[in-house]
Amino acid sequence: MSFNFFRTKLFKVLVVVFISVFLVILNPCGFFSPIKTAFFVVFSPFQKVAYGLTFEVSEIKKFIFSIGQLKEENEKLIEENRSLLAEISNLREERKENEKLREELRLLPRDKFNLEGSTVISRDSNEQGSWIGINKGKKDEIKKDMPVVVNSGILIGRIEEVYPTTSKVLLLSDMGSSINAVDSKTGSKGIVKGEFGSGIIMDMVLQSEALNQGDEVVTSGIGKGFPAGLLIGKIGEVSPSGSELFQRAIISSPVDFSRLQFVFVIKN
Amino acid sequence: MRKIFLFLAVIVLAVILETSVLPLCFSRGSAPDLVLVLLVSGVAVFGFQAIWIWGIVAGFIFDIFSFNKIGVNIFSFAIFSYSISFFSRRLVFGEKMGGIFSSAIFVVLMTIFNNAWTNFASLGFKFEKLLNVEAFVSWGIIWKAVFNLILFYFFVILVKKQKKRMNANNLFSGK
Repeated sequence: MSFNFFRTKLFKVLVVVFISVFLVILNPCGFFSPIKTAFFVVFSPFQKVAYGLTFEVSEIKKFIFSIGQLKEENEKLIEENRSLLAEISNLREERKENEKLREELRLLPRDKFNLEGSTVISRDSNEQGSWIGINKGKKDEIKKDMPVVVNSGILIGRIEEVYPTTSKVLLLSDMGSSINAVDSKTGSKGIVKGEFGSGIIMDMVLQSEALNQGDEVVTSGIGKGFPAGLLIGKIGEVSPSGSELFQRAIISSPVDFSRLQFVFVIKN
Repeated sequence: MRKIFLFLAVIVLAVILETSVLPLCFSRGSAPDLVLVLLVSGVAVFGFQAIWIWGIVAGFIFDIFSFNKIGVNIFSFAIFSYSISFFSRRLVFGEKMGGIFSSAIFVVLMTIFNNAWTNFASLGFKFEKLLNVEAFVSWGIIWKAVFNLILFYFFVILVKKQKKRMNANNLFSGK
C-alpha cells in the first residue's frame, strides 16, 4: 500500500510543493544567480525583439484608431503652440533663476546626469504592474537602487535586481516601493509609495503641512541615493491618512507605466 | 530527445510571450496567464501524471523571467495542475454544458487565486499588505479570467487535436 502511495498524484504534488518551498527558501542565498544569468544572456535579445515589435504594432494600432481625432487634435495643438511660444520667453528667465537656485542648493543640473539609456524588454503582466525588465545590467555598471527615469528627469522607479545583461526595475506603483518626496511648492515632505488601486500615493504628510492639488511632487534627495528634484508627478485628491496625524494624496505621474519603451538609469 | 526540446521551446516561447508581448496587447492587469493555462489545459487532456514534470520546468523558467522568487510559480502550477486533475474526475470537464460550466468556474477561481498568490509572493509573503480587496478582485482580474477561459478552451481543443496526431504513448510514458 505504501508503495502505491509513492505513485499517486497526491504524493507527486506534495513532492513538488516541498521542492518549491525549499527553492523559495534558497532564493536569498543567491543560489540561482548563475542560472538566471545564463537564461537572461541567452534570451534577453529575443525578449528585446519581441517587446520592441509588439510595442511598434500596438503604436500603429493606436494611431489607426486615433485618426478620427487627429484633425481636432491638430487644431488644439496649433492653438497650444501659440501660447507655448509666449511661455517659452517667460521660461527662459525662470531657467536662469532655476540654475542659480540649483547651484545654491547644490543640486545636480538635470541635464548633467550620467544617464544610461536602455530598452524595456519585459513587463509585469499582473494588475499591480510593478516591474519592468531592461536590457542593461552589471556590464553597463548598473547597480542596485539606482534611480530610473524617462525624458529629462521624470522618475519611474529604481533598480531592484541586477544581472550581467538585464536588470529589474521596481516601478513607483509597486507596493514595496517607497521614496522620500517633497511638494515642490509648499515644501511638505512625505513618502511616495505604491498602492493597489490608487497607483502612486504620497503618504505620511503631517496634517499641519499643505498639500495642494496640482502641485508637483519631486524627490527630496533623502535616502537611497536618489538625487533631489526628480519629478514624480502631480498631486491629485488629498485625504486624511489612516492615523489622524497624517494626510495623503494620490499622485498622478505624467508617465504611462504601461507604455514604456526606453528608460534611463541615473548612474551618478 | 527531439520532443523534449520541442516542449522546452514551447515553454520558453510561452514565457517570453507572457512577459514581453501580452502585457502590451492587453490593458493593465488583464493579460492572460498563458503559461499556467497552457499547462492546465495540458493536464486536462493528458492527465496529471504525464504533465507534472513539465509543470516544474515551466514554473522554474517563468519564475526566472518574471523576476519572481524561484519556486513561487512552481508551487502554484503544481497546485492548479493537481486541482484540475482532481476535479476533472469528479466534475465532468467535457464539451457538455455541465462540463463547460464547471471548467469555467475552475479557470475563474484559478485566475483569482493565482493572482493573489503572485501578489503575496512579490510582497515578500506579508499578509498585511494583501488586506485589500483589489489584491483579489478587480476589473483587470475579471478580464484576465475571461481571457484565460477563452485561452483554456482554445488550448484544450488544440492539445486534443495534437494528441491525436502525436504518438502519445512515447511522449507521455507517465500516464
